[in-house]
Amino acid sequence: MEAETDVIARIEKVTVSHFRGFQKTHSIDTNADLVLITGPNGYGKTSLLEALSLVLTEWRGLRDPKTELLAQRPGKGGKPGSPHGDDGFFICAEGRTVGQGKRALSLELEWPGTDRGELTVLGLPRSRLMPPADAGTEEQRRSERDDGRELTARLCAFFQDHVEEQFDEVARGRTLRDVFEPLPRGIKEVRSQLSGVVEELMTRIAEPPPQWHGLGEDRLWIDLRAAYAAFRPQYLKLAATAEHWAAVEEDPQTVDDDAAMDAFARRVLQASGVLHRYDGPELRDRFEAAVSGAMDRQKELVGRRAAGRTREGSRLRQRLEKLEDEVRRIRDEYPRLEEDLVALSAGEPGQPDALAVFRVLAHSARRWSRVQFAAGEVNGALLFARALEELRAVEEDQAAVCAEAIAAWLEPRRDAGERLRELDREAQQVRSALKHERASEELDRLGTFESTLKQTLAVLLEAWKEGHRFRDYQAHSAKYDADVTWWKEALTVAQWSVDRLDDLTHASGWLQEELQRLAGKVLWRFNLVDGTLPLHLSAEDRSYPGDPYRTRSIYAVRTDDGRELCHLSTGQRAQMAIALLVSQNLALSGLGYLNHQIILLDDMTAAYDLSNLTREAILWRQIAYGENDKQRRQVFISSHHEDMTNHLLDLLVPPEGRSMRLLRFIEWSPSTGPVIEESEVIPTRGRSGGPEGLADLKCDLKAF
Amino acid sequence: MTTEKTDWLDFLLVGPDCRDLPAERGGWCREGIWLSDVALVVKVRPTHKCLTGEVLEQTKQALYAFLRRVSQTALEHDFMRPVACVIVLPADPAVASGRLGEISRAMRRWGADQEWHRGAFTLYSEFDSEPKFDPERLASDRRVLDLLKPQVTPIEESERAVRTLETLIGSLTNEAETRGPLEQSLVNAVIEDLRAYEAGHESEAGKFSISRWKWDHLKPPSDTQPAPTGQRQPDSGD
Repeated sequence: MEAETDVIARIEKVTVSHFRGFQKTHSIDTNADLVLITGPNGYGKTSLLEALSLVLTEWRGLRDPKTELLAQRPGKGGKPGSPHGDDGFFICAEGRTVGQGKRALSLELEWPGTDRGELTVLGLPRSRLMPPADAGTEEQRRSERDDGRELTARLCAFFQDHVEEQFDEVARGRTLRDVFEPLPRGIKEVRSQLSGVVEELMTRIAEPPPQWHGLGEDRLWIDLRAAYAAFRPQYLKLAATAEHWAAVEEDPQTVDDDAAMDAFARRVLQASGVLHRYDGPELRDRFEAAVSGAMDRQKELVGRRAAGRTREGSRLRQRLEKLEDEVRRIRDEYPRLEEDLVALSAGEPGQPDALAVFRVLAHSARRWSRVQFAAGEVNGALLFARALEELRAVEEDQAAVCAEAIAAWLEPRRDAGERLRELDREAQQVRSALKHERASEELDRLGTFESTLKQTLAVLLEAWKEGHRFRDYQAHSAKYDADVTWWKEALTVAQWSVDRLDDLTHASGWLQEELQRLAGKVLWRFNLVDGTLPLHLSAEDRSYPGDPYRTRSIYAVRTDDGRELCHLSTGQRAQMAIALLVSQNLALSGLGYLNHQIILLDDMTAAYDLSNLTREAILWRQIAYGENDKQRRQVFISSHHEDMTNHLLDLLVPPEGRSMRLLRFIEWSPSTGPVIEESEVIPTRGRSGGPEGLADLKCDLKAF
Repeated sequence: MTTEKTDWLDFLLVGPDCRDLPAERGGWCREGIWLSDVALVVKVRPTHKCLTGEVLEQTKQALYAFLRRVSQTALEHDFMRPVACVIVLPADPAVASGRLGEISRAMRRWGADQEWHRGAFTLYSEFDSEPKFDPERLASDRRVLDLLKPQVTPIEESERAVRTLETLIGSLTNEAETRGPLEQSLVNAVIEDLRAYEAGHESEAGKFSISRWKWDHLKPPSDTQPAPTGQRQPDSGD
């Protein structure tokens, strides 16, 4: 930082060459407290102020130096001109410092070969508004230098055409807040990350705790016990039936809860050769798969066994049916077969049957009639004698006929009887073969069993699953409590960090209030509409256009009734801009932030009415002619409106001891630039000019 | 205050009107006329007649004539200054919305009436005690003094706390030391990220530190260890 005495107090002479509207070289005497620049539009007034702004701040706006800063040669036929030669432009401001030393600021740029980064004014004292020269990368330093230059320009130069750029909201570079309360690079990202942590923790904590909507715990285990009790007989039956399944050796009589059921299921799985320790749904699935698998395998086994016999069984059943049909037919034909055969057959084994008798009779009737029995022989002989007596009456022919008849009736019956016996034997054999068909019946029985097994298994699984669900809920609930406790602790810490970071980086009320008060005091001098004052500055953080990780700490302008910048009229915006410029410029007096005491005001009469023009003139007189040396500024004012300018000239006439110069831009030539008529405005009597004049004035005024 | 008072008196050209007002002053009376190198300030106070509306329009005409005459007289004595007229309205908030409010609005209209003043002077209307910036001084007096000798107080740097990245880090570290290990771990992460941003290593800042802290502390504790929360040591440093 330069010493306070090195601050430039006044520009006494400006030399401009080939800069914007200035063709050739012009030297202008500006050695006065106030310099009023007048003339029509396009005569070079703004170019002069821009030259001064450039040489006092090094800020060239957002312009490309070559195409916009360099004076243009006139083009022909309305075509744009070319830069005036290739030797660039030159600006020199000669002045004196607060310590009354001579100081020359010079800026010379040559093309080709000069880019934006090389614009440096020789002799310019360093300002504390500029960022430190040793931080960050070269690119960052260059960018920050530009940002600093913009701020110095905003604090000393007002251009009506760029009035918006006077405000933090619109400007691109550093702000006074950045100077006094710089925020570290990336602070927004860090805070944003911390806020993200806070938000996420809050979201997690706000999640509702797990809820149990099922049966009460006691009822759960009662259901499980009942389900197991129904399942167990089926399980035992399966264990007894299944040929290739190793059931557990000892199944529990009862299971009291899911843990017991889990243990049983694991033993079942272990017995089945599953060594992995499953839990929860997987255990249930595995258990179900093991039981169902055993059932399925048994069914498959029986089914496979039955499948090979099924065709033969069918054939046997058909054969048996045929045999039974034939028996039925014989029975139908000879309903009294056995009785008939018994009637005509021998009563006892070895005795002749009826047909034999009749055949004997037919053969031996005559001969038997001649047999004589002695009297008194045994009773049998008597009976036989009686029979013979009867037989003697039978003719041989008659007996033969009878024998024939009996034979014709008896023979088919004897054949049928024989056939029935054969059929019976064969049917016995077929039935025996059919006994093997019991396998298919077993399959049917297995189907019934499976249905029952699966039904009880499903009920068991459901009860077991509900038990697991309840255990999950208990575990989840315990986990939730632990998590929330932890997250609350983490949230407290994260929130604390955010708060601390905010506390340490927030806009200090001190600077805000100071700037607000100072700007408000200047604005108070204007005739503002109701609701505008007091002015409010609202601290906001923005990103730099070229560096999203740097934070611009701005003060956004709000009127007392809440209107933002965009809601203000052009005149109000100009007044606000002037108020901010003047108040901040004066507020920084003597602190080393400003390296000069010059204020440049372009086109000042454009936005003011006659009433405010007077107030404005008072303001400029206060600044240019005031008694406080530290707060006095050399003021350059340009105005193009003739009536207003003349009026302003009257209002700005200096008092004795102060000086004012009038620069009238009366012509502009494409080849030479502006023609300037320079004059000094003669001061009127000042308060320090002697008591006589004042006494006379007092005397006259008293008479009114 | 002594100096200000002295200045105030030094600037005074003419004090309040005497009791016998000129005929044309039916609507207002003079409180004083001051002159500085900045401005010629005339302070007037509307009379009862004016406030009751009897002579409002005549007052406007008379005031214009008076201010022009003052201005011309000053010019005749080679004092060329902008003229500012401060009109003092009695401070009575109860009537501000009534007749007095109407007078006040009329004064504002006069000030904005360019056809009337033609830029020859500017008007400020002030209530007698409107404590805006300086409660110890009447608003009208404050206005007069501001016109004659404005003061803008420079920013008091002694009130300013110097803020740099290092001071910020120092403050954070100091505060974290009085807290638990969890706070310290997060502050360390914040500092690490800030330094990475400052050095232009944004990608590193985005990947580590706070993100890592978040990763460590947002996952449920039950996922990392079954111990109760109270036994947990989050800043284990692993």
